[in-house]
Amino acid sequence: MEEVDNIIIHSLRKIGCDIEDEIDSLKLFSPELVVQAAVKCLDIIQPQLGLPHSLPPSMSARFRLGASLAQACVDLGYPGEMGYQTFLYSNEADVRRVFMFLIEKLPKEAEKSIIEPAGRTEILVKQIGEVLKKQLQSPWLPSYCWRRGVRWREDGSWSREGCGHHQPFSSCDLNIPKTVNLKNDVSQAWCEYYVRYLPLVTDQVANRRQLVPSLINFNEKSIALKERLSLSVPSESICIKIPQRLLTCLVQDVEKSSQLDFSQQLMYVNDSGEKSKLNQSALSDKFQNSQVTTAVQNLDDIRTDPTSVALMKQKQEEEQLEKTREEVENFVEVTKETLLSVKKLSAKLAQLNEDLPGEEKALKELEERYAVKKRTYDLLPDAEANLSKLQSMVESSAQKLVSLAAQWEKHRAPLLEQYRGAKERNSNKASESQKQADAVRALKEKARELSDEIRCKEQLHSQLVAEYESISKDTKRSAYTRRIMEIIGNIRKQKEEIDKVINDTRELQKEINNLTGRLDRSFTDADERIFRDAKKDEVARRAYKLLATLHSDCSELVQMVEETGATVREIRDLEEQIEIESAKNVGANLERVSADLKQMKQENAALTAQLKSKLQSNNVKTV
Amino acid sequence: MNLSDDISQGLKPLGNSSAINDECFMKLLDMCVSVILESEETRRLSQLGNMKLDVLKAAYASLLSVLIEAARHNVDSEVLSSMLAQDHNFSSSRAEKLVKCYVENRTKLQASLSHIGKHPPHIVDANWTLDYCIKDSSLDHVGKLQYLIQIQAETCDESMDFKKITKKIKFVCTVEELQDFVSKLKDAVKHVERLAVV
Repeated sequence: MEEVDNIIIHSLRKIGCDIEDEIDSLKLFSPELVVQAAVKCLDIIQPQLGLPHSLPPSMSARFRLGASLAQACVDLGYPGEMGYQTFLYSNEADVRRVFMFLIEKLPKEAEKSIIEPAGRTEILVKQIGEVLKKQLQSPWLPSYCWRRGVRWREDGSWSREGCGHHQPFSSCDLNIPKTVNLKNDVSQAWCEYYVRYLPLVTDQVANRRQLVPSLINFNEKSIALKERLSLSVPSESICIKIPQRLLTCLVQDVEKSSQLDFSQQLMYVNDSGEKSKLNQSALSDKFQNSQVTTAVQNLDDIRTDPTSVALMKQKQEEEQLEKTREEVENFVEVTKETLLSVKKLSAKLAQLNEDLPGEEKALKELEERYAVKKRTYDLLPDAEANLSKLQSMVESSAQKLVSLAAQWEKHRAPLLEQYRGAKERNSNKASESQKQADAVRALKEKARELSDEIRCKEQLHSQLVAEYESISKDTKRSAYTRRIMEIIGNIRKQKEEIDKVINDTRELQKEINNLTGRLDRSFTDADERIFRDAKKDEVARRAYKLLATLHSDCSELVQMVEETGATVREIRDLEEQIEIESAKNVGANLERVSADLKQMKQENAALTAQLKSKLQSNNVKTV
Repeated sequence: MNLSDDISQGLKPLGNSSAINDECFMKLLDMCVSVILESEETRRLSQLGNMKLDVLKAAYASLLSVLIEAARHNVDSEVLSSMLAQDHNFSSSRAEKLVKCYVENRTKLQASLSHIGKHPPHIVDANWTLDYCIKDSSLDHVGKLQYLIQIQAETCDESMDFKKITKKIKFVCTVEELQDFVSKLKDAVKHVERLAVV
């Protein structure tokens, strides 16, 4: 029974009953605890019942609670008898039976075991739920407690609240240097442009807020473009559009950076007058001419001041300003002109550079022709001899050529063979290397897949480990199973013993039947024989009489033995009954019941007294 | 998370310490993070020592893109490190540094990215008055209750460089309409709560 009690107490604790540690069997349960545990169980089985969790002080309310508890149990299908006394005046066996029934009826947790979300949407929904939960649990904050419209929590998470600090997704085109070029098509000019003129991506955007959208846009756009190019034959529109856009972009960049240079120059020129206004920050904010004009306007405003000294000063300053402005304009023009001339000159230089190799080639040709001509002029005076010499030379050279050709053929054939073999081998090698490259690629893909899988598996493992840890807190599963196996073994043994006893009794019964049959037969036989002799012999008659009395005495004896057995059995039954009754400790319960009855009577009397006094006071009032 | 060819080309010199040394790399990383988070301190590229400027510019843009894209897709640290090591030939120490920086600043980066976009107005206050209309110009006897409700909502004004302004939303409704409205609001609240329990 201890095991059963342990299981019951364990499951009661699991559903949230406040059972102290020293209580380890149902014998120690007080009526309050019994009622509390039963109400908890019923609450879980039928949440709509709404019974009070503790025993009320008033006796009648206690009685009512007990009765409703019993009714609820009967409604659930409790097989035995039960009433208010089961809870209020409990005995161990009844309570055990009730709790076993209730705990069996508890909804199994295994039924609602969490099926871990596997799909992407489930995970997303779960994440949304977690974020919403966090947001719902956090208290309200005034808007000035947010940092740029974002509320930061202590655990590092954040949530966007309110409506401040938004920015639209507005992007502009970015230009990023192509440093590592595969086809070597980045010319010197591009390189120089990248190094000297192209501003950083941070400075390419007009507004700092545009940086992130622009970068996202840049990335996505080039990916989309690549996909489109890989899908279809590159449409001409794209190919034409890009250079045009790039060109405008480049022109803008060059202008910007040249403006920057001018403003720097301006800084050195106007070291005295304007430095305070055109400080470093103005410079980095990309100085523009408009600022100069605004400065001039400011000066104009100041000029209206009536004091003459100031007027003089202003006039001086104005003159100076005018001068510097002219200087600046001059500078601008001069630089523009020089830039233009530089452009022109560089174009010319390039053209000249292009022309140079052609000219050199022509020169070489001319030189060769000149040498040939010179030789022929040298040979002219002794023409005939030279002619024959030349002819013999030609012949010998022709012969030489033929022999050389034969030799060449000789050499050529094996070389050609060799070349073909090498070519074949090379192609083989190439195909092999192609194959290997394919294999490498496949392996890489596989490795990536495997690593993904490993990651998934690891995640699953950690999840399962967490689940396992959360589950296996105090289940003594193995102990229980061992215990159950032991119990089953005991039961089997007992069954065998019972079978043995039953067999014994059956054999005994058979023997008894046999014996009684034989007795009957021998008696009738003896009876007949003695009866026959009794007519003639006196002794036989007496013997017959004795036999009759012996028989009746014996049968009486047998009857007595049987009766004794029955009585013994009855006594045993009664003893058991007495034990059961004494276990119910009727005396104590009766005392408690009578005490409760007395209390109830007292309560009733008090209530009637109250009623009477109320009535009397009412009567007095009416009188 | 996909990266375009230009970006991955720009990432190449970041991967090995011979092209860009460690100190420069860390400075570049700091700079990128502070630019995205829009914190005040900014460095110029010239402070990074004498490097090839075009390489540096490309690396800077690529690093910015990688951080933004990773934060945008909420990429796992392991996925990021494996991607850097496998696809972009990052040395393990470099990838580790980048991933560490990313993990440290991920929530901040994401919060910073959350500024982009449009949001519906945010209700901050509500005023109401209850009027009893006895009669009007067309009817002698009306006898209706009217609720005048004014909701104050914060919103961003596009014409004023997205500054926060308070907008007033006014409407009139009868008792039934108000009840309907309130029940709709309660429905919405319940729906959110149900989602939060999941």
